[in-house]
Amino acid sequence: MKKTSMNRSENKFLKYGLIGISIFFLILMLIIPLISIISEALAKGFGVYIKAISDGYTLKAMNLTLIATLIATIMNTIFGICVAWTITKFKFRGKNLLGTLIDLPFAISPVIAGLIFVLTFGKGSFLENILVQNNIKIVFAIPGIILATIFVTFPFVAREIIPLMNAQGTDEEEAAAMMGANGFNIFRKITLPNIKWGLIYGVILCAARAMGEFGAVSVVSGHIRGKTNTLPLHIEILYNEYQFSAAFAVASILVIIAVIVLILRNIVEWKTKKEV
Amino acid sequence: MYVELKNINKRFGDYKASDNVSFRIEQGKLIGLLGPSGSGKTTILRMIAGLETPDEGDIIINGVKVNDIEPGKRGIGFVFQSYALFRHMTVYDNVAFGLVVQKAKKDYIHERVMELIELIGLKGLEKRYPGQLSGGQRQRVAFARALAPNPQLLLLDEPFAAIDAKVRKELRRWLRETISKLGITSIFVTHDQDEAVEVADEIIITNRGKIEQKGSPVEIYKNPKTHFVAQFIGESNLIDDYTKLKGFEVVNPKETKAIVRPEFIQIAKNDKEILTPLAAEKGIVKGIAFRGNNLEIDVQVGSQIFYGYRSLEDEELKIGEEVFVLIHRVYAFDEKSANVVENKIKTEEMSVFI
Repeated sequence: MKKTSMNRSENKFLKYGLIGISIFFLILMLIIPLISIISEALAKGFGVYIKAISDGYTLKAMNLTLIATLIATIMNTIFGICVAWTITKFKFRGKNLLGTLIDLPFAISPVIAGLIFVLTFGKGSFLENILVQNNIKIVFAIPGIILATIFVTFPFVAREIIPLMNAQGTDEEEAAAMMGANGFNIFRKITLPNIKWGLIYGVILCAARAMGEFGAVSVVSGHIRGKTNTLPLHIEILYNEYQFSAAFAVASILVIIAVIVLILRNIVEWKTKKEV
Repeated sequence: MYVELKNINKRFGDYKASDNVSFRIEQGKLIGLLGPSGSGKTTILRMIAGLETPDEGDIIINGVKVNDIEPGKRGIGFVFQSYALFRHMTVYDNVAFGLVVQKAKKDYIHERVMELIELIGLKGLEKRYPGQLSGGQRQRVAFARALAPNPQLLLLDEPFAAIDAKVRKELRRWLRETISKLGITSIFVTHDQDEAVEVADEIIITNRGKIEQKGSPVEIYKNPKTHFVAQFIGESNLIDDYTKLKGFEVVNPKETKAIVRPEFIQIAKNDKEILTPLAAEKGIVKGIAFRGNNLEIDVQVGSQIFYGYRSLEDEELKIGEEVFVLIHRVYAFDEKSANVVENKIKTEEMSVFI
């Protein structure tokens, strides 16, 4: 008896101790910085805030960010579904290698990811002649930004649905095939509904990451205001020009987007649990 | 329609799943593919369905070689071990799926689906999702779904494996009756011999990728052709030298190993309980275990311990008691074949009586 009661008090101590540490850490690392962003953004009054976020360059940067995010998310959704389907529903050689390659962008520093594209499509690359002759600009232009964003965010969708599809196996697909359904119908009527929530979750994460991407985009963008600046790059420029309020105001847009993503994420998670 | 497999070989890496498998199945029969796990029975089923491709050999359904025909066009209904019901579809949509894919007319689909739901006794549950059904109900839905497009051949992979014992018995009888009512040629895979014996018209026994024997349950039970079948089917006492037993003296036997089923052994308290006491060995009771509807008796004869059964109505035995042990017959076997050997003294004595 004595021993169990002692264990219980020990557990209690451990429990509240751990909760305390977690809360302290969250406040220090997340809440305080977020509050300071908002307060800094509003430090010079609401008028300055509105002016900063409705500034022409800010709107252009936002526009570019949205375009890059949209294209990267669409591409990676298609790619993610294809690769997850390949890996989970077929047996072939090099399957593990493919699985590892998907994670490459997680392992590589974003700066290097940007450099890869500069070296591949920039001055002095083996593709330079072809690109110049056909008047195609990739590096220091929008295509480069989109490519870099796709590269950095491509594991998200695939990583989210591969475990799901693995767990579900191929029985349902085989059952559908036995009844004469073709590949497209099997995907549309059986696989897609089964991975729906995982897929949406992956898409949300992918979009969130695409919007905030800084490193790789910074390398390929060239920082041309109004042309190749995304929101994160724009924030950096404002900050470097000592326009702190404006920088924090623009940053608050990203914070708001992040909060929305978080809420969406929770809704999707709740939905997924409900369906299981 | 009949199914024929001709010299089928299939390997998965180093593992030989099918080793020169050949057999034929007549139309309208209910066939049980029986074997221990890993014996290649599911592979055979999946190759017939077209979900696996044989490395060598032909699969012929209704006189047509189907090797290169896709699964959905072979006219086969398949019930998966896990049922593989579409989890996001209702019972109705699950059963209707095959017909919808084939673009059947809406009225016909409705009529057929309702007919099948009635057949499987789930009327009123057609709006439920698979997750809201019991194991037995799911199995029935899988069965109805496979039947909906009117297949010529029905394949069932371990249809009762995931169902608890009580429901399983009921479901077995139901499946047998339903299949015989529909008259559809069916093959089911099982590792449970009771299930195979109870449900199948004919049993095919597989072991290590090979077909050991094919025949009716009674035939297989009474005349096991190989050592494996003799041991796998029914219960058995394994003995090293049966020629030492009374009534089985053979001069220069080819094989001395044998299997004795408990039901071949009669354990008697005294010579009045048996008709032919001269053919019986003497033994000592070593153990008695209550088995619900009878008693399992371990009895030592010479250096060998046999087990047999005794009715609860018979006079009670005690451990250490000397009893008569009459062995009616044994299955003598060598590497390749198994033969039934009868107790000679018993048969001679019986003829004297007559």
